[in-house]
Amino acid sequence: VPAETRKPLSATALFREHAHFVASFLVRLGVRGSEVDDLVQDVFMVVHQKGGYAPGAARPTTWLAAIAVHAVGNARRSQRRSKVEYDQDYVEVALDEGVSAAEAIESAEAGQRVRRALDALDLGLRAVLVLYELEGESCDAIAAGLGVPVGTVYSRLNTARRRFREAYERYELADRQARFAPTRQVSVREL
Amino acid sequence: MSGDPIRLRDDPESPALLRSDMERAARRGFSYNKERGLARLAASIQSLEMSTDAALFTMSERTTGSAPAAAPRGKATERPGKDARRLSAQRSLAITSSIAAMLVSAAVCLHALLPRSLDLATIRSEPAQEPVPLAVPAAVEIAAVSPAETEELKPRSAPLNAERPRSNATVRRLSDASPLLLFFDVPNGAPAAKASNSEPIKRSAARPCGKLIKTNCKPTPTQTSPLRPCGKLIKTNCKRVSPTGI
Repeated sequence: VPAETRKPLSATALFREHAHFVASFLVRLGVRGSEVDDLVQDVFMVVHQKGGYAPGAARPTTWLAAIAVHAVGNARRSQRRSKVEYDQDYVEVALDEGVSAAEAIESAEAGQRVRRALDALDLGLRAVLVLYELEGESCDAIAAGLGVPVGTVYSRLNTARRRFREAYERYELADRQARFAPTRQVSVREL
Repeated sequence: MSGDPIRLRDDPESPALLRSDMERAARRGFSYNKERGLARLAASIQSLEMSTDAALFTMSERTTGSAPAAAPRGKATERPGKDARRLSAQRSLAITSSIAAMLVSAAVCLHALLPRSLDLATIRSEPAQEPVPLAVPAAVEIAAVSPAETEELKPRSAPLNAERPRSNATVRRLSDASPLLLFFDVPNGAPAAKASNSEPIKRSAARPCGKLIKTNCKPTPTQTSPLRPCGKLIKTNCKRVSPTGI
């Protein structure tokens, strides 16, 4: 365990270090638009009410991720009640500087493909997959952060990867069929 | 961890497009204005602490009349959540003590009020007042009489219950001592009743505490004033004696 994770951290100190992680994790969980900022605030207000981060088995990132998953679940339940619909076409702004336009477009397309496949998962499976595959957390850290056994994390990860690959291949096949669909040729006589 | 499965972007068995997409998605960044978020968070925390302090101050002022002691500054800035829990515990204690104070004051009020209303010995020991003219029901015999007799017995003054005519049943003379009684319903505040206000008010119907006894008794011929000592009419179903005595 790194030394910096052993000291207790207040909500503001955690925010300075991990606000960007929480924001990107929320976006990868499917949160869009201005709701990201609101949920980041909710997460760190919960941290404040809990008295900050106390060093333990969980790393600060996975501990914050568990709070974020609860916050997203609560927000989705309230959205279902109030029937608020956010713009699903919201496109995240890439921070990568110095990349070409072609690379930026390819990155955006890759992000959309991954996001579509992630949307096929429910929140619990999606959180485990995002933490392991995209955030690079270990299964032990995820288990400690979510407060579940490691075997549960393995099981969820296995299920999430299978469903993710199925959805990804389904959407990719649909894209390929749409791309290579025969277009109707207009003859000269019709003109 | 060595026991963790291979990630999709590192797995050679995964399709190339999937691996590249996962690699790009993992490297992809998102914009987030950290400074603005930090300012908003600090404002939210300050607002929360102020509202908690205000609620605690109000509760403490209501119960004890004094403000709570100031929290130690150093620890509050390090672990504000602990402070919030401590304030919450103090608030619940203040609520409990205020409820206990309300119960004690209610018990004191009941103790002060109960002897006056329930101490019968006090009432009996008071000097005897005029006898209460309780139920002296006029032994009125109602019988059917002929229409001519009815005409004769009708009161000369305007009847008060002209809207509600009675049946043919009327009152016949019972004895020489008692006048001919014609009974009418006495409406509340009727002019006839006010006319008899000049007679001395009989207070005998009152309790020692001064309140009137509610009875269904009918007034005797001598008691023609259905008034309370305060001057208001008594609401009874009793009949009124005709002022003319006819």
